[in-house]
Amino acid sequence: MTETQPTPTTPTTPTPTPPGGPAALLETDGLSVTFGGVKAVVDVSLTLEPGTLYGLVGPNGSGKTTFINAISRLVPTSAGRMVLNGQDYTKLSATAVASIGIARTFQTIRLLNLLSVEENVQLGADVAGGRKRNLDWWFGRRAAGVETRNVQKRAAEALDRVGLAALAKRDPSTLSYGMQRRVEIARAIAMQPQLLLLDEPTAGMREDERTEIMDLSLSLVADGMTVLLVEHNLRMITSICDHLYVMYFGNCIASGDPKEVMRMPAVQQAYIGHSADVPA
Amino acid sequence: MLQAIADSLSLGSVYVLFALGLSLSWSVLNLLNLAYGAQFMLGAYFAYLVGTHWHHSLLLVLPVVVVIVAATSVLADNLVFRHLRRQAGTPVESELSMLVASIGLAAVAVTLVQHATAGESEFVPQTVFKVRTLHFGGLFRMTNMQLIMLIVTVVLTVVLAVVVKWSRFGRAMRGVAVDPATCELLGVNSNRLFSTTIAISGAMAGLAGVLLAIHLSTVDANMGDPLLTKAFAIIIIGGVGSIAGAAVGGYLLAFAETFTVVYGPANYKDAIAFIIILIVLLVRPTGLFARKRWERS
Amino acid sequence: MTHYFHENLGLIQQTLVYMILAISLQVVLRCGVVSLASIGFYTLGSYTAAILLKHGWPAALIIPVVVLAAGLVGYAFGRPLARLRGLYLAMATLAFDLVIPILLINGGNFTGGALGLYAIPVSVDTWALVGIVIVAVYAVSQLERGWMGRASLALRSDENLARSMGVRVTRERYLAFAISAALGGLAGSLSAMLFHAVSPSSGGFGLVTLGLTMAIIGGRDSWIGAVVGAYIVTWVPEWLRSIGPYRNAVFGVVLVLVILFFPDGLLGSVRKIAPMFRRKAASA
Repeated sequence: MTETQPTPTTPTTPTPTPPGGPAALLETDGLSVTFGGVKAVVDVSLTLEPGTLYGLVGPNGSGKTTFINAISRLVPTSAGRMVLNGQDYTKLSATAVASIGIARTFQTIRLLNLLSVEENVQLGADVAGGRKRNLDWWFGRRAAGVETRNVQKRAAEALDRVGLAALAKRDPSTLSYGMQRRVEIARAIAMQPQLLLLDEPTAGMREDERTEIMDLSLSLVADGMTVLLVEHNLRMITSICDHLYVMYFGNCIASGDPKEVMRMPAVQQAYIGHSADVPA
Repeated sequence: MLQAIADSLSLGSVYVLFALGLSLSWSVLNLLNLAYGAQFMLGAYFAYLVGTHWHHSLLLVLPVVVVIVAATSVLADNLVFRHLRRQAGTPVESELSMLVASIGLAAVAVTLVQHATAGESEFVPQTVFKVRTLHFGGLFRMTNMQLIMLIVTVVLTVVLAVVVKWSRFGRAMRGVAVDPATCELLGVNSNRLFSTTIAISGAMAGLAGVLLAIHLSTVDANMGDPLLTKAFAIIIIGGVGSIAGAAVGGYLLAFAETFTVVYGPANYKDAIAFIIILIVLLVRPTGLFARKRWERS
Repeated sequence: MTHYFHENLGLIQQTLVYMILAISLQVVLRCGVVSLASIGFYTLGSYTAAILLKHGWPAALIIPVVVLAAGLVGYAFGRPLARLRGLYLAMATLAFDLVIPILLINGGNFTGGALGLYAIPVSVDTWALVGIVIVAVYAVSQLERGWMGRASLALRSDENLARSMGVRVTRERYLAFAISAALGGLAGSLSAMLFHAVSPSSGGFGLVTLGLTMAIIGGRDSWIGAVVGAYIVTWVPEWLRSIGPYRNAVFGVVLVLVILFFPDGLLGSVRKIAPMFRRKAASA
């Protein structure tokens, strides 16, 4: 099953810059985030190529989630640049990020209990359609009807992809933690993003659920999506990711093939003292 | 001119006294208590009731009434507000529910008193307190009640400020305003804290009610409403949770109103409070004195 | 049947007007915007209509003018006020609602002072009223469907999530505000045209209580709740006429009970019991 890539709409302050690599999807250049006196993210420059599965790891407090928040514009950057498809979106509003093709999940479950499971996913599917906001919606009834069916279709497909099609009409609060996480991922997928940021998606999941997420990530990447996986489970990350970034105290201390990176002394040292994460 | 200042001071004292209780419940409990005006009115009403039936002096009537009104607060919290806080999803929902519930409670209280007084105004008998005018060297006059209000307000403001800033209870209150869950973990019984805080809030409303009833020598079922909006204006000027802010705001409003009556279009004196609310909220929503840590986004 | 209709015409008309007032509050509360301003716009709308009627304007012109004016003013106010959250917004809008009667009382002959304006010609017939109510309710119901419906619920539950889903939070808030104002103005102008008189005391705190009761009793998640609430609030006192002067106290008790035991309103509670009902209605 192939999903058509949405054309990214122009961000509100586009500043075209020459891309780093031949076809880099996302590039950060010296990205820093400082809150008060705390340097959460320090001078991080990394590149994400399309159709690749990336892992982002690091001990607790290394700034991984802050970095994700920064590239999804939920948190302002103190320095540096972020470029998506050649367009600088460092100053873009958080609301517009969804429409340029970046989708994310959160560490805490953020499902809306006022909506059913499928309505939650439809919230994401609305994004892919560009959510026609002008009078067309009122007067272009036929177009609106078509769009409604498209939204329903996209949402149903996304829900099916995470294996929860049967739970479409349920109240999210009645689902298990692992299932709720999967619904969140479905919501993100329904946005048909170019870049999917998954912030610790397997936390609290059983082993079989974890494996499902791994397979899901791999299949999304096979279809052309770019996925950045923030995780603590190093075994999982090293087995499926194409490329691994390691953060430590806000800095990116390593980048490369997962198995090689995990053998690097700097990385090993970062994890010693956080022994729970060190793989066997 | 001096008289206007003196009037402002005594008027301001009532305002401040009243506003302090409301500010307390807003900042600590996130409760925008629209029944507060009704509680104030209950203070006045019970002063009349107790005073006419038991003919005792202020020294006895005052604490009795204050306790009664404080009890109504605790009752409301136990029966209604506590459950609403528990069952709400987001903080905004719990605020809205408590707001709506307080409107309902106010309607009940006001209607009952309206019925009990048959819509008429009553007054607190002179046996409770005899109001006498004092002359200050021909420069201005004040009644003894006005002086009492001024003194009580100043003393209470200082005491409250000291308690909030330096006592263990005060610290717990400030902590709970910001993060109730963590405070629970630190051993603060938030339910009991809320009860105590709301009791204090009610007590202040009752106190203001008694004093003002004597000062105005009139008690009627609707006397709480105009005062309520003024209290809101004061809290907004001074910032929620700030005692100094409430004090400054109260006297500021009193000055503005008095000078409007004396030098300007008197009819609009009640409108001033609303206009202030609108302007401050548009320009500086956090108020003049608000401290960040009390603030809810 | 027609006998019943004529006997209770006043009540039926009152219910219809209140339905619009109820949805004006429901529309904002559903989005999580705690604005009570539509009450103030109701009062303003009723006075504007009354004054224009006395100057000979036709009703068919007054209504759109008032609605448009209320919407624009609501939009203008909404932009700065939309930044406020929760209680602060409630406070600001309540202050707005409460200052309007004071300004009207002091308006001299223009506004009729404390007594208000009398002998306003009845300018709307009941069928036109029904038509207007249907249009207004339909418009609001459309806002609850599809992406707009989902976006507004997201807005209420989790703003940051809504943002990351591309919902323009601030804009939705002040649009909701403007719509609420327009609906309040509409209800007010209709009431002037139906009930002969406008006075400052018909607004203010009492109307806020009434409006909130209507919006909350039925359930603020949907327009159906507001409509049901309006019906209940208008007709139940009629059935329980013996309550008479205690009416406000009963409303108060009902309000407290509803918010305690039926926080989603009667409709919301019914929906909780019948989940299939809800999914079919809202999923689109």
